[in-house]
Amino acid sequence: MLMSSPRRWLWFVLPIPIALGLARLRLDVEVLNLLPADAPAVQGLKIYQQHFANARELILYVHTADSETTESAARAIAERLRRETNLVAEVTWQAPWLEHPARAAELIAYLWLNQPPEAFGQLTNRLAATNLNSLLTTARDALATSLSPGDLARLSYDPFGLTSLPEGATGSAPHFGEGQEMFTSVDGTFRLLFVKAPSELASYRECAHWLQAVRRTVNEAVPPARRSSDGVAIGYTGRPAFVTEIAGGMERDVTTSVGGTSLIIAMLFWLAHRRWRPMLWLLTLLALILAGTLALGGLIFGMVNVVSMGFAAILLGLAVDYAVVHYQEALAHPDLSVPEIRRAIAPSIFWAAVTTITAFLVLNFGGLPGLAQLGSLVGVGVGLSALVMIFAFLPPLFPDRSQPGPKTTETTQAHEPKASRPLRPTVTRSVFVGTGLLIFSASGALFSGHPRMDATANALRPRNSQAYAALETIKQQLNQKREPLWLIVEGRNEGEVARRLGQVAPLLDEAVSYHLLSGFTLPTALWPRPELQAANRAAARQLAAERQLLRVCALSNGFASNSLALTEGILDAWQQESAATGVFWPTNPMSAWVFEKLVARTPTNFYALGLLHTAGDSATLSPAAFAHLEWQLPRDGVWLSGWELLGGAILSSVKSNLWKLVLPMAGLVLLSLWLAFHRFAEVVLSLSILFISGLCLLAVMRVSGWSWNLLNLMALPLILGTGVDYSIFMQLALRRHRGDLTIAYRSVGRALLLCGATAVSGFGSLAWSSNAGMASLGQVCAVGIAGNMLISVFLLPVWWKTFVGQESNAESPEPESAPAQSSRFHSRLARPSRLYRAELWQIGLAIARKLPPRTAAGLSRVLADVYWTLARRRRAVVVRNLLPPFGGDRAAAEKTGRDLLRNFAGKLADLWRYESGQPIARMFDELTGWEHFAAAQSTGRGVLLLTPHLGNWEFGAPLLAQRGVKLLVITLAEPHGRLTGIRQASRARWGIETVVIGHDPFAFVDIIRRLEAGATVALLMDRPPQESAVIVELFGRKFAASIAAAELARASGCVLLPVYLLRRDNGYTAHILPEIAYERAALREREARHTLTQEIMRAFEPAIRQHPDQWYHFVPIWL
Amino acid sequence: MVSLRSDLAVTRRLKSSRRRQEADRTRRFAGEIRLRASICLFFALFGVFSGRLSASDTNSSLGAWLNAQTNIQTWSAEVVQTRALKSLTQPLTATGHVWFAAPNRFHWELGNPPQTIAVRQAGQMLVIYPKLKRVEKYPLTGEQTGQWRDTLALLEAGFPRSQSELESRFRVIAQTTSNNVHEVTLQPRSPSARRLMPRIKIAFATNDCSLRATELQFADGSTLRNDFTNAVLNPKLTDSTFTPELASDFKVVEPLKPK
Repeated sequence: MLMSSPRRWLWFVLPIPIALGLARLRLDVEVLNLLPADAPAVQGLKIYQQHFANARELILYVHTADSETTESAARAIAERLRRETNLVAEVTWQAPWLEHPARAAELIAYLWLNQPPEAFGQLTNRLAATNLNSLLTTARDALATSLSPGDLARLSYDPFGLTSLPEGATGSAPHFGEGQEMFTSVDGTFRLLFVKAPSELASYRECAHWLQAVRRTVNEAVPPARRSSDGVAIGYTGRPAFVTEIAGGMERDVTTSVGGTSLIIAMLFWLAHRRWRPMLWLLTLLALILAGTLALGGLIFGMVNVVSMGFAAILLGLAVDYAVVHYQEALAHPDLSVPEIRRAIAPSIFWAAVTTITAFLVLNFGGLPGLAQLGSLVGVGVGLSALVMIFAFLPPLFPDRSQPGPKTTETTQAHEPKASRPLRPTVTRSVFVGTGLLIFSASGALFSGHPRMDATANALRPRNSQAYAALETIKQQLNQKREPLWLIVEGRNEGEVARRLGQVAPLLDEAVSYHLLSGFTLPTALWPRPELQAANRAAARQLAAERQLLRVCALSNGFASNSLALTEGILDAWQQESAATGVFWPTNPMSAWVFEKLVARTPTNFYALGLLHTAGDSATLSPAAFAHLEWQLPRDGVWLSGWELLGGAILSSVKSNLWKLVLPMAGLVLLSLWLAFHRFAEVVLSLSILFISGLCLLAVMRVSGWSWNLLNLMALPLILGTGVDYSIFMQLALRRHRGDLTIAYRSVGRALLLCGATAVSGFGSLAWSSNAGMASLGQVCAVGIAGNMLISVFLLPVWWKTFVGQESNAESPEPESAPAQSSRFHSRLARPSRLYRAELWQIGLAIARKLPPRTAAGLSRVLADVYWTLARRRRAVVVRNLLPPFGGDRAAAEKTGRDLLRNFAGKLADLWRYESGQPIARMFDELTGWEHFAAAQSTGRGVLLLTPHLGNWEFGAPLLAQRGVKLLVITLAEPHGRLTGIRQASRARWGIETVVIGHDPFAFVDIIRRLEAGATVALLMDRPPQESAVIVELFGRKFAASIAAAELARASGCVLLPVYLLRRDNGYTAHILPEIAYERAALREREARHTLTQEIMRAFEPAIRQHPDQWYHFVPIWL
Repeated sequence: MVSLRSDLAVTRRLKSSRRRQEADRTRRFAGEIRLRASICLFFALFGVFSGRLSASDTNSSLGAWLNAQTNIQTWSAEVVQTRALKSLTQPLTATGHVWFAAPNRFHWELGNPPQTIAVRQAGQMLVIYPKLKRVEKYPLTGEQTGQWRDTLALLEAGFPRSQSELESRFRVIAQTTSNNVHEVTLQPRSPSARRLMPRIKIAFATNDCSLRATELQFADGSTLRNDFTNAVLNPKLTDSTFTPELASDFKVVEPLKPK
């Protein structure tokens, strides 16, 4: 590969930032991070996930046909897992108070301490020494006659009735005889086990390894053989399972989508070109681009989320287009060198990349951080792809074409396109009938209805997820028809949370009354009441001190020692807490198990979780129904959230932000189309394609049963941004080939099919993504882009031929024969850039007044670069104008052309400063040849200062004005009358008089008179009006110069002084050349005047050759 | 179902069959080892069915008693309930009465005056606490869970309607005969029932298949034993037996109703 040294070093240095970026890259499997962080539903869910979802807890289910087998299997698994103390911290498979009833003492003690002092007082009275015997006798009587085994169990071990808390004391806590419904189905055939990891599972790999180890242990407890013989079904769910699945899905998605897309790209490229080397090189570069983009993603973002990983396949499908276009061009033009091809293609690549990058960057305004990251990654990747493909794809494939060969001064043009033959009527009819059928069919499919909008959060969930399937099984078996909504209450201390719980309870009661909720559970009863605890401590201490009395009474009333275990435990807890001063939180394993379901504590905050059970069918749950409740809830520290609310809330946000995506994209599309075509009919054709393909997309969605969701809505701006390119390329090709459909199809159609197929495959590969939303996004994008591509390739050409073709044939975009050139030359002279108009000039003046010189200079350079990129025709004209000074060296001419435009923009900025009245004295640096002017003035004759459009000729006037020389400027009328006046007024501010000559030959009479009077007059030599133009030779080429100088010399005998002002680093330098001597008498002959004109222009040749980048001609000047 | 006198014919048949078995056993004593070996081999091959085989084939007393239940339409008896709880140093004893009407209505009273009354009707069960003026109503439709199911099991123990019903709910794990009383030890098949009551014993007279006692063993080793005396087979019972009148000041609660 031929590379310059800097590029070679680049290849060695490049792996370093790539490695750094990849090392920094982390995969983010948290689905909530895809969503806007400021949405209350998302905030609530995040708090729930962080504090209540227990990231370390895995949930297993065991399901068999009979309850005994299920219990046996569950017990075996629990016991086996408990033996693995390094693997598992805790296994819970039944209500903890059933396994360890004694641990309930702390919780009961706590619940009593939380009671109002009156209630605790009633307990104290009940346990008064005088009441104990009767209390115990009553207990014995109940034990003797009760028919409830639960009462028998309770009274046996709680003779003093301490477990009989006041009504409402336990609230959301399960009753101690119950709790199995949390672990088993009604018929006992389905059981749950909660398995807690010994440590935090910080990464998805830790989750995966731990889950694998748990599965192995479970398989040892219930071997597969037993599973099949006993019909034991085991499922896994919970955060470790979700994280493992999602992360594994991400890895598989990338592999599958990237691998699949790469394979399709390779196949398509092979089918199109049948060459191994370019195909392999293409795949290599694509791999590097992917790695580079990932690395940049790692450097920029650090964490890449599950949706963003879909960027890889999309990027592959888009990046390959740039390589294909280059390769096609190289094959189609074997005479062009790689740099020439690059120059020819780079503008279109630039434009295509800009529209694509913009389309994806616009996703940053969609309100979904996950998609914003995807858009940014694709945008970065597309930019990188454009650079890599432009500079690195072709050189190794065409090493012998690294330098241009010998060329003529003009660019070699492709064959002159001939006007194409008209289309056969049958072809036209077929296409239009086909178009009609397409529209009719699509409309028909939509007649029964549009694709529906899925307002749920299902788009965020993984597809074919075993963990989710397990969760659904659990909900079904445990008869939980729908997940509850969560009400999260936050506070800085216990009192603040308690107060907020008190505020929300009546609101929830009201919601139940109007059937928004069927019920709710708040942890109010479980929440500590510091003030009540403090009030009850003394009484609790007193009771604890009476333990011996209680014991003696119990034993004397026939109770055994073992009946007092619970009582002793409660008294121990009261004794301990009565000596403490802080808030009492029960902490033993059973209490922790109960509390962690509803309460969370951090060093700075406290959280309480309420469960809201909605009324009605989950299909009818809508955020709007809860908007009123949400509005009523306190703003601070209270969140209403839940997965069922999430979808609707986010979808509303996405829909409200959609205009921010679609409007800019629509604007960009319209701008692109206008700048590409400058023709209304072609813009309408492109828009028609977008409309029809959109209709087809909706029809396909309707027929296939696809729905819109919060992720695939983002397909709209993507399809707009990427799909419009096909119609642009096709119509430009049709123009280029003057409506010849066959040639257009051969040159561009196949390329579009190839590029489109790769883009479709890139998006389409996402259809197999493990994330439901990404899959739907990929499907919709693939169908939308395919529609755009197919219609552009197969239908658009005939539409174009029918509606635009005639008009296009009348235009001649390329240079023709010499006579045609000459007439066109004159017509071009009359057509300066549309930007040269009074309104824009005034804007320039206003900006020049406001901006500092450096800022104005920088801005002008940027605008110059943009114009250079956008204005292809002007650019071509400028380059052609520069070829003679460079001896036909196109590369030099192109490079200088860009510099020329930049210099011109800087000159404009300086001119606006001057014409707006800003001081410009400091802009002048050097003046050479003043002696020539002094000598000319000393003759007493008029002085005619002659200058070409070189440098800033306008600054000659203020320069002379500084030296006390009054100048009269001869100029043509500006293309817009108002502009002439504006510029005249600007010069007049500096004391410079302007004489505007049009086509009136008598305008020179006054000038002659002034010269005869000894005035100093300035005249431009090049681009004269037709009447005063003569053909001279410049740089060996025919050039039109003004014979007016010679005419004025003959008429007035003035001194002819060539002058020019050039911009240097330190400012403007003025150069006055020696006088052009002539014989006045000889000038009677036109031939002599012609010769004098030639001499004058020849005097400028060295300066122009030396400074071609300041020789400003934007219309063709060579004949 | 509870054993009953059934009919003399049945009793006689049972008695004669018992004599015949004894005679057969005597005559076949020499081959007993071989028989036992055969039985052991048979159990080794079909061990999974040993419980059922023991209940149905190897012990005709249980079978006879179960067959006799089909003749019971009504039944009443005095009951002495003894509760030997591990948490108490001495057992608690209560007297009471029980009435039964096929297929599944019963009326239990414990205490004198009654402290607890349990009445099962067609669609519900009532547990009445006269002293507390409280009635707990438990519907029998839908799912029967938790404590409620266990209560029903406690009250229905000893009243199987058929062998298949008994075997569907219990596993026979032991049988002994002593002093003309045959005692069957059952283990509930339901894990939740088994968790609370790992064993249930039923004792009936071998001569007339009358129910003599039931005993429930709880998980902590406590026992609840009902000894039945003065049993009457097929007494005339009115509907009012199973439809107690509740005073207006009684508070009726439904513990299983969601709050």
